[in-house]
Amino acid sequence: MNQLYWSRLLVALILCAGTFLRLWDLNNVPPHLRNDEAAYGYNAYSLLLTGKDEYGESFPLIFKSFGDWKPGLYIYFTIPFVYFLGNTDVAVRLPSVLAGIVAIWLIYLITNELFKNKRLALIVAFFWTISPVYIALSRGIASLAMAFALGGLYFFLKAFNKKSLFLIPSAFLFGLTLLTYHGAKLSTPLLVGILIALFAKKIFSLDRRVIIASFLIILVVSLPAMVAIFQGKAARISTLSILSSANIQQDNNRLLVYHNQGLDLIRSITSHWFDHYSPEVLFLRGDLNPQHGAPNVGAFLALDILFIILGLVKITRQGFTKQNLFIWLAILLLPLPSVLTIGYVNFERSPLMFMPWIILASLGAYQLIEHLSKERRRLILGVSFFFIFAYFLNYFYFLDQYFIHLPKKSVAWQYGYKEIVQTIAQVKEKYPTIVVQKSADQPHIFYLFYQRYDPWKYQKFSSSVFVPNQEGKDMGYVSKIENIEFKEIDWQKEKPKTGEIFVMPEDKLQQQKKFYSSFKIVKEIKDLNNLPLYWIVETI
Amino acid sequence: MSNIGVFLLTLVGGFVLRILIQPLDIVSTVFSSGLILLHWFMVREMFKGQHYRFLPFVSTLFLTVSPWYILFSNQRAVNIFLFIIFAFTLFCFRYLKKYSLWLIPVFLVFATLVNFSPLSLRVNVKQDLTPIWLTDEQRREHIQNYNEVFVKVLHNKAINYGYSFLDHYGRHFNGNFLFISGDARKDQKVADFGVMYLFDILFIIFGIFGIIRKFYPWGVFLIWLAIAPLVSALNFQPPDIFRAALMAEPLILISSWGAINVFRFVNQNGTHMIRLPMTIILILIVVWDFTRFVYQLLIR
Repeated sequence: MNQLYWSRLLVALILCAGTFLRLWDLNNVPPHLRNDEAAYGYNAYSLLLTGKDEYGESFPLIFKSFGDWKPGLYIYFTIPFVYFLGNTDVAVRLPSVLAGIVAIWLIYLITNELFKNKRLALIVAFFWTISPVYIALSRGIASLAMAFALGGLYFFLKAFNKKSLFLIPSAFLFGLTLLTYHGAKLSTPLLVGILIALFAKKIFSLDRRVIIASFLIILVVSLPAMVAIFQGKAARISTLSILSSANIQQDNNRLLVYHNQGLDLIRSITSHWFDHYSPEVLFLRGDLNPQHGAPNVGAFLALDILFIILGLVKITRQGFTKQNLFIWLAILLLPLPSVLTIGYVNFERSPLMFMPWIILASLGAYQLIEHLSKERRRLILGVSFFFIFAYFLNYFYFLDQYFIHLPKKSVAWQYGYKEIVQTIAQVKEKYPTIVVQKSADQPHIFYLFYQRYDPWKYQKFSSSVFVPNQEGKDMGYVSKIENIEFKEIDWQKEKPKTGEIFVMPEDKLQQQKKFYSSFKIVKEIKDLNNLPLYWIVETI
Repeated sequence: MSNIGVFLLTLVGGFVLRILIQPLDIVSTVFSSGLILLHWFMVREMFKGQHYRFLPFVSTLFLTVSPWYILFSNQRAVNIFLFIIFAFTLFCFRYLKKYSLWLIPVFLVFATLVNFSPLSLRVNVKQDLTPIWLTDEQRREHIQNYNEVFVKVLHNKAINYGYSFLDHYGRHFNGNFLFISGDARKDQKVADFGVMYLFDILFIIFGIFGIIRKFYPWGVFLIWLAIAPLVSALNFQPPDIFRAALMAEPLILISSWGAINVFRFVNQNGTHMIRLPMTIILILIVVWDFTRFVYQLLIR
């Protein structure tokens, strides 16, 4: 009873810490919404008022958005927050934050179910709570699909440890992941595959009716995502897939046996795979996308490497138990959604890939604590004190990097559009045309979201102003909203008329003023370090 | 006797591979070939018993054809340095066995420091200004608190050079460096190759599983592996295959032990129908990757 009390108290404390770390200053850190977040927010707003998405489709599950066909469950979860908090940054982020907090509780339950060890489960929950990567991802939009996957995993384990019937909620939650995030189309089948492989022998001991029902449930729930792929709404996948853009060049001067597409592809995938295990990514720099972590901090703290090494030694010595196999397979396979896409490592594409590392670190810490309590107490106490101090300092470094330094990195956050939109709204009626520099940032969505643009009105012309991607990729662009045009500004080719407003980045204006210099400044938008970022100018 | 015959053949093969590296330096080639000989005796001395009977031969073969060893076979300083290390290790295991676990690591640290450090330190601090810039940037981002004590404790040159060092050190264990692309400098690499073969990925994984339960004598090589990149990590743009050359020996040993384990695993666990095809496939992969290396080295 006493032990139960303590473990509950500790779980509650860990959840409190997790809530604090995920909610603290959410309105300012991260400092700006990303275009995807703004799109989620505006579509939630549109659904709330009209029951339709921005293109006028009634209650879709897959949203066209920028042409990337977003799985839309996150949008539905955003609706109540938009209703209560309005079109704000916090409203869009809260579903992910809450899912991130639930994830802490779920990982505690999962570890307890997998290892039958409450102390270890507490350590895992603790490491999860404070991990840089999961704090950053929770404050973005990546946590909801992850929480569904963790829920699915928990009920799957419960189905084998307790009642077959738990397989049904497991299937339902796994199915939901596919409606929530693109990356789940690969990560969920991988996770389910790992679980089936591990429990293959016991799977037929479950009630067959439950197995069939679960199979049908996962099929039905994920059907919209599957159908969307067959309907050709999979431009996001084809744009990012390493398999479609491997860019393998044929060189006729090379011997086919040593140089062929297959080998090049294997080398390319292997290379990308290795990136996911590099100390630089895991402990020192992260995935280079500032949206997924703190500057100069990896997915974990630098000192976590010690726990991970201890954990690795422990499970290697133990051999292939079911739990250890789960860790090995998860380490090996869960990064695949990120491995098989172009670009460097991307934490957001496969947030669950860090789960096995956290379990490893916790196993290492658990072993250390067990060892410390038995042997050489004085010496070890001294060393522990020093280590705890160093770890605390390391953690403080992360907090400083995340909460102080990250909000200074303007470019990473598509910073500036919120202010641009406010200025445009003020001057919009006074000028016949406002031209905003076209960009992959999708500036129109910030206007729609922050100005609470009437969804009924926008739905009437949204399809006519959407220009699909000319290179067959996913992201198109919106060319016009009333008198606001989004296009490439080139004053050499197209001389501006007088009395127009132009919005462009600092470097673009420096370039363009060689061709046309009769303008006056309406507003200078500064970045987070107080340097010029955008200019709003009026031609005269 | 047949074992010795095969070994001599390996030695000659190794010598031939080494004289193909241009510009040819005969002293380096002699020392580099001598390394093969020393390695053979060293492994025989350290790994005794029926369990390890194939290890001296397999590891010597792997060392002979190792891209890493072949690439630095015309580097006089590296080969002499490694020759001394190998000789000392052999001496320790033959005559000072019970002290070897600490004597060898201490000697490794000492030797690498003497060999590379003063130059490395100077070059690193002079060329790698990023930690200094980063410190300035981090302090500036604290705006009016830039001069506070806690800001200075978190953002200073020592911490940022420390992070830089850890980053450099970690890069030596990056799979891309080891198996895919090797050294960043074009004159220190073979195109499309790491410093080890692709097949080494599989063997090293099996090797690590094989050694983790037996600390002696493998512990010496794990410590060796941890020490080996320390000085190279002080370098400006690591990993540098010459400065990190010390890493090759433990990695080759682990890979060789992994290869032996893989073949044993296939032969002990596979059914009759699987054993022969699997063995042939594994041998073909090894031969293919080796010939690919020779092709890249000599023709491309």
